[in-house]
Amino acid sequence: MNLNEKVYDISEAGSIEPEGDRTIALQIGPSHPGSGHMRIKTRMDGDIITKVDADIGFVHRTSEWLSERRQFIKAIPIVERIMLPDTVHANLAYVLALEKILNIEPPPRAQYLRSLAAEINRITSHLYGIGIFGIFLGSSTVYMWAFGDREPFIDLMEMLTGARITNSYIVPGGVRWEMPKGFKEKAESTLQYMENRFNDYNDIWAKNPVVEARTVNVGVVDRNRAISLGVVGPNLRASGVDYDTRKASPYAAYKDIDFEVPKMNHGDSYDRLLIRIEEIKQSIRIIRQILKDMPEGKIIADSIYSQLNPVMKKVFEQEQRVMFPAFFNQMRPAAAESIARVEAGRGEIFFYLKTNGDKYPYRFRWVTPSFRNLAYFSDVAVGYRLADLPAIYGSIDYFPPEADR
Amino acid sequence: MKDKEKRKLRGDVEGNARALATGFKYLVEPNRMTLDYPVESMKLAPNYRGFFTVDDKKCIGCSMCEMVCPPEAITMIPRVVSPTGETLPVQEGASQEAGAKPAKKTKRPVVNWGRCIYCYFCFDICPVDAFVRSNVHDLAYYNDADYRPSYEGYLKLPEDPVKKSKKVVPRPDMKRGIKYEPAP
Amino acid sequence: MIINNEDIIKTAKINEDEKKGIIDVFVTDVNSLKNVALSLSKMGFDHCLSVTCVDYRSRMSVIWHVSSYSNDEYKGHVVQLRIDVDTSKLVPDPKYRAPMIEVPSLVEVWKSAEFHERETHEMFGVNFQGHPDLRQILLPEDFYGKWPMRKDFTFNKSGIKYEFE
Ligand code: SF4
Ligand code: SF4
Repeated sequence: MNLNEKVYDISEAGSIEPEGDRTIALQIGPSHPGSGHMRIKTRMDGDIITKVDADIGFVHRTSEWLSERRQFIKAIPIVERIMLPDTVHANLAYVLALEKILNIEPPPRAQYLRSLAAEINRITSHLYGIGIFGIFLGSSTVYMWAFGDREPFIDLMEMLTGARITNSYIVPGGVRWEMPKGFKEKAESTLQYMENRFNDYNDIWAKNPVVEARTVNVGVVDRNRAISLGVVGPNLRASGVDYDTRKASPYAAYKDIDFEVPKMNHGDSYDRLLIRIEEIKQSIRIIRQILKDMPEGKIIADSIYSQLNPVMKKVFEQEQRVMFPAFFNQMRPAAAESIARVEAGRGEIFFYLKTNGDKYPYRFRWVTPSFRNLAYFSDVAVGYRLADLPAIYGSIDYFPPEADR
Repeated sequence: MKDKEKRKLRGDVEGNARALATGFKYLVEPNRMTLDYPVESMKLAPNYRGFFTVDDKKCIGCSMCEMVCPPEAITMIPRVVSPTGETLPVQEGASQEAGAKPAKKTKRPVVNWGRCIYCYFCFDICPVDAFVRSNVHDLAYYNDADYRPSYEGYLKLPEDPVKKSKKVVPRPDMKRGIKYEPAP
Repeated sequence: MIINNEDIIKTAKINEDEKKGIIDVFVTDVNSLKNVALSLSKMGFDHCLSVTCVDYRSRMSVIWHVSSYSNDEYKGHVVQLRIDVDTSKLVPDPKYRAPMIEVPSLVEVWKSAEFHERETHEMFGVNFQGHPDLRQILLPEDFYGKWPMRKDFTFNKSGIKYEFE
């Protein structure tokens, strides 16, 4: 087989079909059909979809390649930029993988702060997803609402880290900044505001008959199919699989936190919509617990703190800002390999990091949740009407820049 | 019908009535949270990561910041130390006065604002804590060359371009999520 | 021991690292790869997290990371199914910058590996035999055959000029 030929055949769409074939090719995209650039090549019989081929890669930024040619510390901003609504989780996943190789154990307070940032980030990520789904179904109200309600949480992140989205908050050994004064009160009132809003969201969006009509029994994936497709995150749990990385292999402070993993059992677009709202409720519960039970102590591991010079130690005492030891510049971890799994807003991030004693990672494999959710397009959309495709695309919260890396 | 009951769907009558009622509520009492920039602008917290500069006297020219910078935004430019402790540009071919000690050579960082991502890694790696932060973040330049200041240009912290606007701070609000109040 | 299946123990080297959370299953014989994968999937490792490849110049190792959604006992573990391919004896192919290596595809066992194998194929030049639809996925068409993630891929930093052309 000549593989080259196969590649240049931009098969499906546009090619002339044998006589008697009554399907037509329809290309959706590549100019931004929703949350990023991708092309969905479909074959239509009337308005029934008979075949889907998701053509991605329009926003591929060679991120793995870039991170394999830089010092370890410089990968932190790169991993954040693959998934902008989920920066904290990407940052956390990379640092977890690196910490396993460097044998650093962060102190409990740092673990709690990591979980705190991650949960705030999960809420913003879900609100982003809800907003995009809203505009897919033509509801610009919920689009504006969700993006507006994301703002108080981004404001919290700004207070905690000094930046709105690209926080670069987590470093090997702990976190970079202490929780500022007044954060708890502000967080509590923001959470209360969000809780009050759920009723309005239900009225305008989740329990709206128009939304119900368009999403119920659309894009159904049952439990076994979800497992065999290997989908992740809220989409998996909407199909009735009880799996959450925070429970399966706990990281950060999730071992000590009491929370539930919401689960639905129909696996259609409507359940995927509801589960995101349920997860926001759980995140609110987790943030409350974290703020209540946050242990006292240092926010950086002793092994890192002891390498700081006197000037840096003084800065830490005065401003509660962790400076970097020179070691961060010259990290040369011994040959080893490690993995990290983190439950991000859209699902499980998987990083595989291999070092060989050099100053660059030898191999750094990234698997992002959207890439694993790609199976939804080609497998699930078939058999539904064209008008259902936005309801399926929107409900899986697919984010092309994240899938393409 | 069974499906509807099992899944607690609202159905047309109740659902539409509630949606309309909520829509009407927000028509009467809208919850806008938009900031009227640049008539109003935000007074940012002191820990906001904005433009920054370096303290010429504190810096020891060790190049750690250049090494750590992820997008390679920092360039080290050669300077000489003057007797007052500040640095001067290197003068090519300047004639040495007889008997004068040769000036001590050093280096200073300059940031290319077109590349900087405000991660503040350079801040934290600096062994003498020489960087000076500001929370100015909304500058615009007329052309590409202005993104790369000279060292002298870099030493001056940029001024807040919306200094004259009404300064507000965001406060969490039960009804609107965020309310902008005049800064104290 | 988490992996207690007789067939796997017989045919593969198993190294369980509790701390790092990886169970390394190293298969030495290409022909038994599929059987090991089938045994793993029968045990309850039901989905594939990632397929990747590490280029060591003289050999390349292709890695499937698999884990379980349905089995509570295995949820917290990731199995790293690994196979090494010797690259020193490959015959150069004028169509490609470097010759492709061949391993069996495991899409039949884990359907979730499909897109990962396509990505590994275009990035590393791994020919997954038996893959139902081995096309490019992320890169543009004119990048086919250049295998950009291999260690010998270089290009001029300040332009889009490739050294090998
Ligand atoms: S790290 Fe600090 S002392 Fe060293 S060159 Fe940069 S600014 Fe100067
Ligand atoms: S803030 Fe980050 S990107 Fe900007 S100069 Fe410093 S290290 Fe470089």
